[in-house]
Amino acid sequence: MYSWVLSGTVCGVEGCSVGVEVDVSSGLPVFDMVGYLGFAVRESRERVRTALKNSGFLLPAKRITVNLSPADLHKEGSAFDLAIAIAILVAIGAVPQKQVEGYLVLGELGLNGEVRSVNGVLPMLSHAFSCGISKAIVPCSNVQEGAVVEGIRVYGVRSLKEAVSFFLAQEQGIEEITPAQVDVRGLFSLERNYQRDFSEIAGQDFVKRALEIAAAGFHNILLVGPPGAGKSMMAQCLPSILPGLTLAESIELTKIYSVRGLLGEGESLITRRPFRAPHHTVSCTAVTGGGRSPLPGEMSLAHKGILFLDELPEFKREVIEAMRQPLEEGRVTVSRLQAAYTFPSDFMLVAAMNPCLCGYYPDRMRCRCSEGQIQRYLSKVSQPLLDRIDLCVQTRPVSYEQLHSRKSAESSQQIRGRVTRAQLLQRERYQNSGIVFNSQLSAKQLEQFCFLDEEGEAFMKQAMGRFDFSARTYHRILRVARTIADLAESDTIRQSHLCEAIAYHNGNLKNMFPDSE
Amino acid sequence: MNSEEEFWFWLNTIPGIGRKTIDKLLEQFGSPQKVYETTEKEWKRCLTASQLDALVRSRNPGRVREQLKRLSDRNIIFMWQGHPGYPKRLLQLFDAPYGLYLKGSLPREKQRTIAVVGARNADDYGRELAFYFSRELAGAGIGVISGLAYGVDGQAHRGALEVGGYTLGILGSGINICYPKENYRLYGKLAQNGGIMSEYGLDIAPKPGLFPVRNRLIAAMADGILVVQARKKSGSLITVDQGLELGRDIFALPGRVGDELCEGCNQMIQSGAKLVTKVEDILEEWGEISDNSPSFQIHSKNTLVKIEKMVYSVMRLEPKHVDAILEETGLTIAQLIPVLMQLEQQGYIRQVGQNYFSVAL
Repeated sequence: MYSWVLSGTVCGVEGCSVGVEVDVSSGLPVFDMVGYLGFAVRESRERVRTALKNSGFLLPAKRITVNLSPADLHKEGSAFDLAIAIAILVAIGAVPQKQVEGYLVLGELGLNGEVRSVNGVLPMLSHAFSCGISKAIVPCSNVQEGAVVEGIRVYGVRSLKEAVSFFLAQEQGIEEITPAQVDVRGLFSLERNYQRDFSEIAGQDFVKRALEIAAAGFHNILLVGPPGAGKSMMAQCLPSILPGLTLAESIELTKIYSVRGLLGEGESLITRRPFRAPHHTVSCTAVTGGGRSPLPGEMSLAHKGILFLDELPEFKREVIEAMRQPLEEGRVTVSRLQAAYTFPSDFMLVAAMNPCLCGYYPDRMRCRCSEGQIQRYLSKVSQPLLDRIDLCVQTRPVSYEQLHSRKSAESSQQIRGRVTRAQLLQRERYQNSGIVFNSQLSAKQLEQFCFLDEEGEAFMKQAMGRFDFSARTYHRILRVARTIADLAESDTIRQSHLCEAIAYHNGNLKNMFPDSE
Repeated sequence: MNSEEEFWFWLNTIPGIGRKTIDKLLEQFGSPQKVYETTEKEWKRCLTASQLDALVRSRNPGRVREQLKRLSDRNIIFMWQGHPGYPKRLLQLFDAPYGLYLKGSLPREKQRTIAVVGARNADDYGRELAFYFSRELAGAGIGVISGLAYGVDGQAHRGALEVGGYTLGILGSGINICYPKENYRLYGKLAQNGGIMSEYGLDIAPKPGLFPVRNRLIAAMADGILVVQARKKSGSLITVDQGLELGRDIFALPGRVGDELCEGCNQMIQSGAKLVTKVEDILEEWGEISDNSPSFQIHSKNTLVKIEKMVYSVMRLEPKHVDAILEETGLTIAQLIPVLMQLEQQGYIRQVGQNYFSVAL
């Protein structure tokens, strides 16, 4: 007897359909699986056989052939187990074929017949939905995630037995399990508690201001300063001033986390902007994404959020250089012989570093690095990367007075209000131009959207001459000035906005000692 | 070989033959030419076997000519004590170098010169003052001498170059070796607009032992020595000791009590160096103040508008972070930044690193 059940897998961060075919015919008792299978899938044979037995189903002593199609797609993971078991049961007549049609079946089996969670449920379900499938059986622990896809009825099962009895009950017109519901709106309106709040940070007004600008225009930012001056802490505060994700952004992000298996149990959507802080020993693949069947890396896990690189000069050169293209394009492409996988990676880069090896320059009471050592340390920071960082600020050591000042600092919520307004202005302005933030403005778009008033124009002309800006630097300054103007809710860019933007550009960083190389 | 230059060059560039041996040879035979023309037998009387061997092997006119050609290809002049260009001031040294290499020019014989020396890892305060004093002194026609090192040395040269004054760098390595190599641009500028001098020939690598020896040349070439920042055990103190032996005027910039970087300076002041807070303090010593000496006023505040005055008044020689300026002035960022840019543009202050500002002198 032949049977067919629909299952799925992921390629990159997108789902794709996989059909599970089973044929049970007379012959020597053999359990064969074909269809370009990875190890985990091949081992599924033993899991399925044992799970069937322990759930009370007897496998007949016949020749069982399982095929996963399309046969030329390499299949990995354990998500096919449940579909294979069901398909066998259909083939031996324990479940009618009619009942399983129109269902997407996903789940890993334990030897005792229990159904365990799998990765990539969201992308697989949204792909299935786009192919016209409207019902799905998934492991109970993935049901919240699957329910996000509106238009699919998602049933969570705990065991193989439960799944079989669900199908059999359906024959009598009874729905044993109620499809899961998720209140997506509710998830988004939840008051989020952030780990850190800007009100915890004493002093450092200038750096805070720079971070506010960075958040408002989604600009990349570099923090330079001595150890213990709060660079990491301030970076960690950033998520708390970023406006929330939109539903579309959230689904895109959740897919990435789902594929990597990083969603928490029962979590349905990621509604918070991610903050990823890989250690500086991280490998290139871990950042870009990779593996035989490529999985998304840190850059994609930071999608729509923050990628924080602490101790920037310590990162391997290849890691830094690999970030250049994604920083421009907002996505990273991992090429394999069979296919190229594209992962979204539209993140804000926040980097932190010390000004010298010991970290205390320009405090010569503590820093005894020579000029050469300092130059060498700074030169470890790749110039092409610096060219993609719009803002650069130096933090200063915090004094006792600052730590104990009575003056209360602004809370993140207040700052977030301003940032949100500035982002709304940008959204309106760039409605049909394919971008969302000032940081994405191309040179041509700058002409279209960035108007300097007369004073500003004269000032910029003069500044260009005095500071010897390159065209690229000039554009960077304009982008930042546009954001500063947005924060001030001004249509035109004024001189004071330009001044501030120039103060944040990183031209002075590698120039600690003029005239020496 | 027939010219005096060739004989002196030969005697100066024999590996393994140092100053003491040259002393002995010259005492015995009179002049380099006579040394050269003496037989091995006679050499033997005052040399060890290995020295003798080196001397014999070096007696190669081809090599000497080739090396001299390499020097002239690089626009380097070789001078010996009888050479018309040899600086007379060096002869005051009991161990004046027998051979001297020069790229560029020397100060005029009558020109007043000052050595500006100090710590290599000087802070921004020291760097600014080294720059300022050198610039002003060079502007007053005084030659600035230093050692082309990091920190104070480099800033001294830069200050003098800024006003087109004369400046001389004396190296502790071969004449064609720029050490530290980060200063190669400065090396180039000195070779072009000032001078570079060394008692070591081509390709001699810098060694720790060479620098204290070099310091005696700095002391000898200068009429006065200005110490900008020096720790307790600083190479600058060697220069000063040498200078004292030669009767040079010693000037020192005072530092705060407890500031390690200035302990050496303060100690020197205690033992008699002249405390200097402005350029006139040095010029006065030499009676050089005249109508055409530059005005040393630190920028006048009269042309500034009120808010600029306020910001300028909280600026110091030590770099201050924007946050500190914000706190002290009570301005907002949007108010402060344009003022800082304006002041920077007018040359009142300068940005040091990222977001730190200090007074520009």
